[in-house]
Amino acid sequence: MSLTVEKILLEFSPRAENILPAIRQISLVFGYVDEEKTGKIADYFSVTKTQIYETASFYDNINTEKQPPFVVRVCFSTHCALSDAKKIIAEIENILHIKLGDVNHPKFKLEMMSCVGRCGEGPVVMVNGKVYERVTVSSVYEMLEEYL
Amino acid sequence: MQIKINGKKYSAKEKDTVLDVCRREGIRIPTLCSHGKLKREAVCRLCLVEIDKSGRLVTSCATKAVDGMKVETENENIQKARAINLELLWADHAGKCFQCKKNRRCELQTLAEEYKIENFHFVPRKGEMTSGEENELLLDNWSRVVVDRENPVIERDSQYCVECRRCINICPVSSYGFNHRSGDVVVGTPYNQPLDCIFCGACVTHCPTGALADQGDIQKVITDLDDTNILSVAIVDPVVLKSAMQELLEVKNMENLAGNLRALGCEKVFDLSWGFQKYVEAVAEEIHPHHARKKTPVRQRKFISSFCPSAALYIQKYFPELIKNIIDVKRPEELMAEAVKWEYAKREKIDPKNIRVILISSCAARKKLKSNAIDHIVTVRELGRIAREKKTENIRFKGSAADKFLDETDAEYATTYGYGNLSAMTAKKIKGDFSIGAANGVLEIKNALSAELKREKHYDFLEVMVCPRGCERGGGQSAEI
Amino acid sequence: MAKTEKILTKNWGHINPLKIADYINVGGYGALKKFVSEMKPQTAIAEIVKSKLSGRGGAGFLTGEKLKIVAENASHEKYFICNLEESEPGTYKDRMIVDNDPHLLLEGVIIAALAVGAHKAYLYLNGNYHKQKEILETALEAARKKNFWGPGIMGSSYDLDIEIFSGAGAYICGEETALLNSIEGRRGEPRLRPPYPTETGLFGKPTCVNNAETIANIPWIILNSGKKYAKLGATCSPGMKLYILGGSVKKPGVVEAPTGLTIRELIDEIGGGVTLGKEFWFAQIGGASGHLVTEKELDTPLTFSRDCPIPLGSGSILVVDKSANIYDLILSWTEFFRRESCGKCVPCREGTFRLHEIVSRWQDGEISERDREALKDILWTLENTTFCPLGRFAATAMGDAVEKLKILCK
Repeated sequence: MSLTVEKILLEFSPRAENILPAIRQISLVFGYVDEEKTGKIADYFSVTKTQIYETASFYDNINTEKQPPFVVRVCFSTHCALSDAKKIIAEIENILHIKLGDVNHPKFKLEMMSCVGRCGEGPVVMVNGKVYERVTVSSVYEMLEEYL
Repeated sequence: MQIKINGKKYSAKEKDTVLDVCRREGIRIPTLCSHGKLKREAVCRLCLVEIDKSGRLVTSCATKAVDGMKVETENENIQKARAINLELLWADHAGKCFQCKKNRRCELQTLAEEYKIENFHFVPRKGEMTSGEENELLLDNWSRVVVDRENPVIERDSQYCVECRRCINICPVSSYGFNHRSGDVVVGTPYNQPLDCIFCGACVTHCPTGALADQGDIQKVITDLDDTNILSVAIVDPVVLKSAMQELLEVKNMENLAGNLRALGCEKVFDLSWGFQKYVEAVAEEIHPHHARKKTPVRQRKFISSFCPSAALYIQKYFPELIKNIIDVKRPEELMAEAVKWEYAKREKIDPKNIRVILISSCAARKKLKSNAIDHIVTVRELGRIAREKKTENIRFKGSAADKFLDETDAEYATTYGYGNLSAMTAKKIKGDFSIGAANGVLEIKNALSAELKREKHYDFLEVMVCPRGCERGGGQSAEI
Repeated sequence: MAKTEKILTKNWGHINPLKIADYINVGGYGALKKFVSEMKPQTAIAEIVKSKLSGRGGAGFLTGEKLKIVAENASHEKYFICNLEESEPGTYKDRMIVDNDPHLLLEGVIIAALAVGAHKAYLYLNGNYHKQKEILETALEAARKKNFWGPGIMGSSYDLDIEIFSGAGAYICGEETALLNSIEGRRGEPRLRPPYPTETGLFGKPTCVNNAETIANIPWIILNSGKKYAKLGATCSPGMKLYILGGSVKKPGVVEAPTGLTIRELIDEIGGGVTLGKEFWFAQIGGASGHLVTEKELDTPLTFSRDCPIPLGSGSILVVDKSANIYDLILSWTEFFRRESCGKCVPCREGTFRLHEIVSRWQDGEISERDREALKDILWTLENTTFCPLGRFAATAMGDAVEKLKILCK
């Protein structure tokens, strides 16, 4: 039987400092935290559903909405922005036929992301959490090939 | 201790903030997020002052008064800060006032007027952007707006929200959260679900703008008021008087209020005290320790007051096992409205189909549990809007007070009833061994009902009221601007 | 050149970071041993005070003073937190410490936590640092086996529990009060101060939050004395620092060097000079929230002193050459702060939002008169009226670009 919310919650003792880790884990496993799961998390930690949703919706690495199968995130913080990030974004838009920030595409989402601490190895691109370093305009196609 | 404000000495108490002192002494400091004793958030950044010529601006709401402190509430920097921050807020509000339910009663609008915010330079004008940019700008701003018209009491429209967090802090059942981040922040419910709370209306009374307002279309009320074929009957909850004075500026007493209602089109104005008396008499009858009641096992007895609709909703949601213990007596306004449509109509020989009962209410939650006998429930805020629409808000109407209803109301019921009065009135009618309790606010209600369930404490009669300061500060009342 | 010593990078490349035995062989955990067997918490803190070590996260607060306030609090329940959120763009020095010498960090954490009287320590780790989480877990397990933490540390009556807490992607959580809210399972919004975390911190208890790099200096101070540390680098804010050279320099990367070096020395001697064929335009010191320096300011020595006109911040030195597209850069800065603002206070939430809008419209090089005025007002209010320093950070680089690079002119 696959992992359920209850099983994941039981990995954490119901203390306040486990709220964020639990939400994070559930978001990771299920792709996002939906309303029903929010209720279960709230009950488990004896806090309000309001607090769980407030917290879950705040952080970048937690999703409260269903995501398309492939989320492409391009770092646009200083070092990467100076490097070629804009051109890389344009190339990705070209190859995937989507626009930056478009939320309606059924398969892809392309967004900018904040620095992930690999400034020496930029430009950096993440696809569903997998990190690609030293990306160039010419290496974009190869990077995206497996997802097309 | 003593502090200096703008060169003059003032005394300050131990726990005072600079804002507390200024408010007490009548020194004007604009605020948008602070409100009475509510948790101080210091997020609107309008109450800024400068202390001891430090060169830095600090929020007066969050700065404790210290003996010998020298406070400046007006200087070039302070005025610049206020102007820019107000304008940043105003950028999303400008031009929307006339369609907003809070028009002329809005704290942001009042501040914008006071500080002469006319130059909306954070939002580009037509012609300054390419049309593509303009569309994107519109889309972006609207993509975060949340509208909720799914319940009969509270209308939400987050385009008017200034993120002051008052509703979040005042809600007794934590319905509202501060969701998402940065400019995408939305004050709302989890997953933008329609509000499903106890509709006490505290959030609406505290909201500084039109983000939270009374649900419903006042035009429907005005149509009935204007219709000469219809007998519009106003039932006035006497507790609304003080609050009504905020909206109807020439009202000084119940006679003026009744006069104003008649001018608006209410052919008859009745005092809800009649209903209150009937209610108390019915409750006393119901819970009197006579033979039948004594035979009922304690846990089965009905002992919880049905007076407060918000409390009834609270029990339905959070203590469903105690629903059966709510006293089965219709609320004062229901009793009275039914009397209007039945006995009164019969006596006056009027077809009840031509009568409209309009309840002028201090309570918002009544709208959720409205009986069919009542046609319109109008909060004091809505009364103000109706009066402003009909241009009667500045006129003093003389004349007699409420019209005579079916029979006389005992003088003792013609008092404002708030917290404790219901149980006091009921106690007077019961003789013998009887325990009466009153739970004021959701926390006390929760404790009292939990104690009941745990068999720690049982009352023969428990008055439950959700609004912590009684109906006089009910969720339908108008806030001071 | 100022007195220098290899403190932070001493073991980099010479030991296997995943083997605790390697670390012990080069003297590792010797400071902890000295602390546990020979010192009292007060004496350890006194040494750190003497060292004049200041916070390496960017705030520059005196570490010894912070530890002292928490240590002197009578509360039985206290917390110690290592801040490894490290989300400042251009900054990855703390990550490098974990990658190359995690036990140095652990040793520092344990000593500092015990010195303040905490029984629980958290390592607040950047949510994207997955590999670093594994490294730290391995290190923690190995150290636990040696009784370097847990109950009865090295045979003493000291006890300390250490837990890794992963962030979830929010720059503002690098701010200590936002970090505390995050651990408590809430939004990472900064708190009103006073009260300060040293008095009312995690779960309302006295808490000491320190940057990872700061903590990594502590074992050396314990072994060699605070007085010796105070002789390194600049007198006003002594010690060794990890600089992160990036952009158009010949040798980008993380280098350890004393405080007090000038920007020119850092770029030319540490960074190997500007990339061949590129002409120096300006440098940004401290990440996306840092000041810009032009050619004529290059001889400014960088320290943590409040008098230093260019705050060191995280230690990131970004060299920008004249071929760079300034519009991409200002878009990057404004887009970053527009996303990372927590949204609580009016000037930052609305200001960063409108600032990004203005810069988005400005991408073609033309700015309207209305936007020009609006830009100046937004920068002013961000600088002066926000709830927390993020507002100021959002205005710094843009403000310098307007003033020093004259981007509004033409």
